[in-house]
Amino acid sequence: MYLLLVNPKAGNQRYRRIEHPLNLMLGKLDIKYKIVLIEDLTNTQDLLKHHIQADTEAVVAVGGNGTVNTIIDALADYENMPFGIIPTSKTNHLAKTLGMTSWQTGVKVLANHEIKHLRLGRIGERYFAGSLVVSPKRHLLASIFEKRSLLRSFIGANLKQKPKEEHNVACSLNLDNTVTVQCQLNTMEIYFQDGFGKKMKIHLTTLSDQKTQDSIFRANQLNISSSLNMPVICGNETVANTPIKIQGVSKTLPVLTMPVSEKLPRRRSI
Amino acid sequence: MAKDRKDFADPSHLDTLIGKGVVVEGRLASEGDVQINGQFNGELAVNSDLIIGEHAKVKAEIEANNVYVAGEVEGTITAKEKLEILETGRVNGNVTSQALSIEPGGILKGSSEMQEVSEDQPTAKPTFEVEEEKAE
Repeated sequence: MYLLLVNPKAGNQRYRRIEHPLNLMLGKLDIKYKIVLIEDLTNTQDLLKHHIQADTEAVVAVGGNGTVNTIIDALADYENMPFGIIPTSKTNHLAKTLGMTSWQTGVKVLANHEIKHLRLGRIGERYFAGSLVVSPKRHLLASIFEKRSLLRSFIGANLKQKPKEEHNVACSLNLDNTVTVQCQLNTMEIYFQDGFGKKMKIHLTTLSDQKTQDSIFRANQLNISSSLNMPVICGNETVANTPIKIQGVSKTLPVLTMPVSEKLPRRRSI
Repeated sequence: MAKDRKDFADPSHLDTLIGKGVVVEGRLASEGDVQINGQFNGELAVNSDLIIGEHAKVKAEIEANNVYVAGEVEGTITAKEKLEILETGRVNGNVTSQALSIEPGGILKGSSEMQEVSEDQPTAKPTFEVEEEKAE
């Protein structure tokens, strides 16, 4: 039986609108499930303790990035309990990377899936899976006005985007207590790569002579400090702020994903 | 495997890449290829190839398989196979390698020690084979 932990507030209360078709689809695919509503995400650990039973096949997050991140953090202490996602927000980052672009595909994956082991990391006191982004906050209006648009093209105001000093923050990284890195940081992306154990891949985009430059490092442990506090984003949710310690751990989380055969594009019949 | 100049701009094969403007200090150990375009101070232990880009400034004790220098290096270099100093490269320190090549314009200030190539791995084809090919 699948334990569906539903965040009714996620995706602008989308669950209310999809509740009926979701139940219909689950029934049609003959999926046995139990729905538990999460009223407060801080109680997720207690909900899991109370509702996970011997016949629980997997815990499924029905919600957005916040719901997914909170359940992953709570599930990390369970040995080999599979995790699934039915995305109800349009920006569910981890669901998208696993091939679940809508709540319907999330349900289909429950019926037919493969298990992929996602490596876990620790950010401060909580676990994360997938990727993290560290970047200085940008003024919303500045971001909008920097974008190229048809209207701006029409009035001839589309300017070539140049990286600006204010979007870069003096940043210092300590990798595995052996290497220190100093840079003007624009964006940092942290993720795990197959074949590198618990080492994280750290991809930096920095600024030098008004040009962006890429840097790549690998480390088990990373301490970030910066001249300004920067948000650490998992999915679209800010999970911490710098200064922060991020670690790769030797735990993995079994995740239900779309079978590889279904991800392949259909061949044209001749 | 020996690298070509076009490989230097391709970060896909790299394990570590230090971009221009980035300053790194400490002991960097790597199993894969490393490319430095910024600044590095400390110790480099690379089990694969090391590329020091044109704008790079490195003050380090270096150990790697093949070393390609297009920037500035101050310190000793030990290359298990080949050390190549390109036309913009400057090395101030002692170097040890099986093979050394310095392009016109490249500078080496220091002593060079050549390691013997092991007999198990011949680096060139025997001459008679070449002659046979010519005869054909």
